[in-house]
Amino acid sequence: MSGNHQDSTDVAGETTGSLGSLPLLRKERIWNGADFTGVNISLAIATWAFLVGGSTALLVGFQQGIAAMVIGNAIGLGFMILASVVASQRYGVEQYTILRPVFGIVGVGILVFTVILITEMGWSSLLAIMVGRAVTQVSNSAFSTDFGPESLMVTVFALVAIAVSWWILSRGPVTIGRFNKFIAPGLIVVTVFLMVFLVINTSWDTLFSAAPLAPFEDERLNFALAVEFNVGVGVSWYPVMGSLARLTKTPKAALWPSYGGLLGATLIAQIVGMAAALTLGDSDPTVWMLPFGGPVLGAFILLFIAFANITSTSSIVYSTVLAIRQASGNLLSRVKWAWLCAAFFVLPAILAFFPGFMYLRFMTFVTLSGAFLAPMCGAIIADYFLLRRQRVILEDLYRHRGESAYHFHGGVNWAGMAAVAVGAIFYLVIYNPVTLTAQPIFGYITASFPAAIIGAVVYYVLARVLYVRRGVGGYAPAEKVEGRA
Amino acid sequence: MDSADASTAAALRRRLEEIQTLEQGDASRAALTGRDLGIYALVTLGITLLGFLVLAL
Repeated sequence: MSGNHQDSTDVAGETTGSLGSLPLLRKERIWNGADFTGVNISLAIATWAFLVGGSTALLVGFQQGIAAMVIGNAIGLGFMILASVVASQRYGVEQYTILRPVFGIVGVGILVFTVILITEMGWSSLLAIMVGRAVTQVSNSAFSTDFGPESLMVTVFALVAIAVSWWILSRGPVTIGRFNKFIAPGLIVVTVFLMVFLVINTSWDTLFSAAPLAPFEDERLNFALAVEFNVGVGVSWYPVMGSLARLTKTPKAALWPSYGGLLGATLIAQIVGMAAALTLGDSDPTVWMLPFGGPVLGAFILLFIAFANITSTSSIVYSTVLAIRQASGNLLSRVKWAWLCAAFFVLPAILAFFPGFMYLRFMTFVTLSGAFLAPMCGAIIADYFLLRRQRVILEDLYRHRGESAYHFHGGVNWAGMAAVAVGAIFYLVIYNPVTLTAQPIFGYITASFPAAIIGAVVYYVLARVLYVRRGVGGYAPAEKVEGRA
Repeated sequence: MDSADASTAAALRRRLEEIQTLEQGDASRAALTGRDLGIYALVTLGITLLGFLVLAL
């Protein structure tokens, strides 16, 4: 994932800790459009795409599933990229530092320690449980054991996966980069393998007529849920994209490769995953490989997937732990990197004791994190494009307390926090992913996109009332800001 | 400067100065134009409509 990024920081001759927050210079921006497209493709071709494809097949059939994936990802990625990629690229600044004008330095800390942390912990535990399931499948096939998908052995191997992820992560970004160099091409091979075996083992007629695996009675609701789930998946790229995009050479080299690379690769991997799930009647990717590949090839692929999940976990946790350290101020700056990483993995390790729950609640977790990330994105877009006209005071991103224009009151931009709160409440009112209750309107407009619009409107209005009119928050005339940037 | 970056405050100052003197107006720091954003919005809308077309077929 961010392996290439991390390699580059070393090439730049800086420690990852310092370059993690400092604005990049022109000579440190190493990716053109083609490079960044490759980075995004290798991000998107990951095992979670198979899982999303399989989970979409729970709700809808093949044709509706493709439509839901195209619509959901197009919309989710569409606004997520505007919120995460553009400002970080322009200023070369790490994405949680560039959020300070929108939420304030304390506000960013609150969001990082809640929304971002929980989102990434959830993904980490899910990937670890997938490792547990993959390894037990291999064990059942090779040694005739009988470990179920929720057995203790799944937890044991998930914990081993977490331990190995921690080890890779504690070794630093260069190690992650080395592993990722062959994991991404390997996963492309696995995707092609699945496509070939699908072509051999099934037909278009069978695929198009296959019934969804566990739908609700209401067809419109099923489709809306599938779209919403895929919007949530698109938005869930938010925590990593900005910090990657700042390494690109031009705004266009960041914008289009993010959108095209993630969308294209995600759709291919998800559609293959959905077809496999519909063919075999199971949404779990670890179940597909043995029937398709046989005991030897299938086991090899499962073990490869297990290892790919471990490196994916290390990659996403790297960005998050860096953000945690940034957002904590003095609090965690002296804590050793390895200990900080170990602390991150405590909750995923606990969740690994509930493998059935995590798989069952995968869709809930993705949509719930989308309920908060979507209005966050809305507020960021309103701030950066509408109120600040793409101009930020670079020095003030790093100044102390009252010296910074982005200190607001107590370090919190209340317009930003209110936008997230109101957007998330709106989301949960029209669709509650925990209780699975939805208002009739959800079937027509879904929840994430309107929540993002509401977040943007609330932010725009409150920021004007609370700050712009009073000259607080650095929403200054363009000439003045330009001069300082 | 940010307390989290205390050890790199000097490096930060150097960078800010270099950006201000050498990189103002550089292509790497350009803002997206209205045209860029318009095309981006249209492409997003077009792909979304393509999804609805798949549904309708």
